[in-house]
Amino acid sequence: MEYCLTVNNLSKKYRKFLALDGLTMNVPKGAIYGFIGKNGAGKTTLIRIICGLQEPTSGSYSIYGAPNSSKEIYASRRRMGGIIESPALYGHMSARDNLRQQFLLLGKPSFDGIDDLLNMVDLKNTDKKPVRNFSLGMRQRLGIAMALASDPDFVVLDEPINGLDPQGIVEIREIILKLNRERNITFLISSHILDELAKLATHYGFIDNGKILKEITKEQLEDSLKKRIEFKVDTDAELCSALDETHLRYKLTSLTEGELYGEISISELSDILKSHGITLVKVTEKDETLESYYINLLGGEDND
Amino acid sequence: MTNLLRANLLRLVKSATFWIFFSLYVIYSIALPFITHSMFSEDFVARADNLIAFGYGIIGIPIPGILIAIICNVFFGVEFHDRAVQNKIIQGYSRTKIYTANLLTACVISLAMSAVYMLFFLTISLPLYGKLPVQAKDITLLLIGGILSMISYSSIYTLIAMASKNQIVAILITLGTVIFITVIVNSFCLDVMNQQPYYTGHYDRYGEWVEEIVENPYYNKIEHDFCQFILDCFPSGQTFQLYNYNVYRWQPILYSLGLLAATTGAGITIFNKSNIK
Repeated sequence: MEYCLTVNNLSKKYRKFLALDGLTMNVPKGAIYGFIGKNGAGKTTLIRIICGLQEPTSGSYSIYGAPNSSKEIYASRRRMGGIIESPALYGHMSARDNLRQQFLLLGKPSFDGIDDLLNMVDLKNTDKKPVRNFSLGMRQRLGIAMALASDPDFVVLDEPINGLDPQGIVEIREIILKLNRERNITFLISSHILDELAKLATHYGFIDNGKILKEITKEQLEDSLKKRIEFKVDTDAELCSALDETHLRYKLTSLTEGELYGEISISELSDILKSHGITLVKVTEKDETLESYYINLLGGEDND
Repeated sequence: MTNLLRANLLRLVKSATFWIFFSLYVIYSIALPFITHSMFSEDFVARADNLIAFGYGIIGIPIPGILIAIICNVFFGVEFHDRAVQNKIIQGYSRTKIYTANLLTACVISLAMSAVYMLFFLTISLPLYGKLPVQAKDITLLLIGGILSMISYSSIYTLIAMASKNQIVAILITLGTVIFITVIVNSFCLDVMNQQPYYTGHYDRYGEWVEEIVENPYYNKIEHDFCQFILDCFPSGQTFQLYNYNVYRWQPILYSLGLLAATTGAGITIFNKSNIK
């Protein structure tokens, strides 16, 4: 798998406070990577470091293969766009003037394309209205337009839906999904609004106390979150044939134990197994959300 | 870097703060020759070269220094307040390039102010005061010294703005420094500098007035040299000498270049090491 961001054993210390503690993570190309953690877990610190705003105390990272210690990192960052906490916008300027600034910074030969960007984020009719008079949602949308001005391959968004109203949240979500599907832009999105992130992300990284607790794909997470039946039977003979008959995905954790993912009544499962001469010894139904998964993950770590 | 500079200049042209304070300097540049001309008396007769020096300050107040301080600190402070510096870094610009582009922008502000003052000097002051009473060499020293002192102001204010990362703090530090140096240091230095090693004493000796060169007991060479160094080193002191002494020296030019190098080196080092939120 190709990665646009790899982070290796990264640490960041502010005086006596260890914000990142040997963090290791990988963001695959084309992914929408949901970066999940509670406040103070180290999400923004990591994002600030990969965006070049702060230097790590130890460890390394690379963007599109360019290590942070090399000069090539500046060229790799030109393939990035980002919003950290709040968009970088000149409050006294209009949306169009802010984009002009961005185009000049990027060394674009003309201002062609500004209208397209304003259209895409639905800000074409803001005329000369200064950005300081924009709503939070409008500012976020303009921030995304600014981040997209460089036609980036990788966009970092730190808490992009914080403080947005439901309509604003839907708009931002649709823009992100569209860009990911149509332009194959990789997103790294930090958030603690898990329900919303669950509608977007293709990959997840869970962070706590400056460490990655777990990295999983959407499919792996769904397997964990789906209604799941954990079972134990008396024999392994014909077990796979019986489970195939359920037409559900399953995983064997031992010869006589396993998990079934999906909806099936226990009596139906029991009948199928019985028809193959197998008896159910133990069965448990599980049902989780991303939130409960995350809480369990944190709880598990705390208990370790 | 050209892109950074172009973006800065476009923003400068659209900056209300820049135009307000630049306009104040334009008004100062136009009004000054008429005001000083109207004050002509037996005790005070301004010369055309004084008018050039007045472009850098008058009656102990470094007018352009204060205006550049406000423009630079507001202009660069906005970058931190509105997170534009973050954006530049994310776009792949090194901090050294960002700092240098900001320094060059500040120098453009200083040079624009110097240019506009000279424009009004040539079109108003010179016709009003007649020809320059000093040699071309002195005028060259005056102009180079004056412009370099303006560039020194730019380098100091860029350092303060980029190191403090906060508009209000930067303005307070800058104005505090300007007032401290202007009022306290320069006034103190001027007192010391006015002490000469010898003075002419007048005595009544046996009914006859006698003139005698006497050693000044209050003169201290180390103190004198130190104050000269302070005045030469900082732009407020340099401009202070320009409009007070009518003596145009080359030493402040070297100090200006040294100060430019020192503040730029320190500024880039501090900015490169700082954590940006």
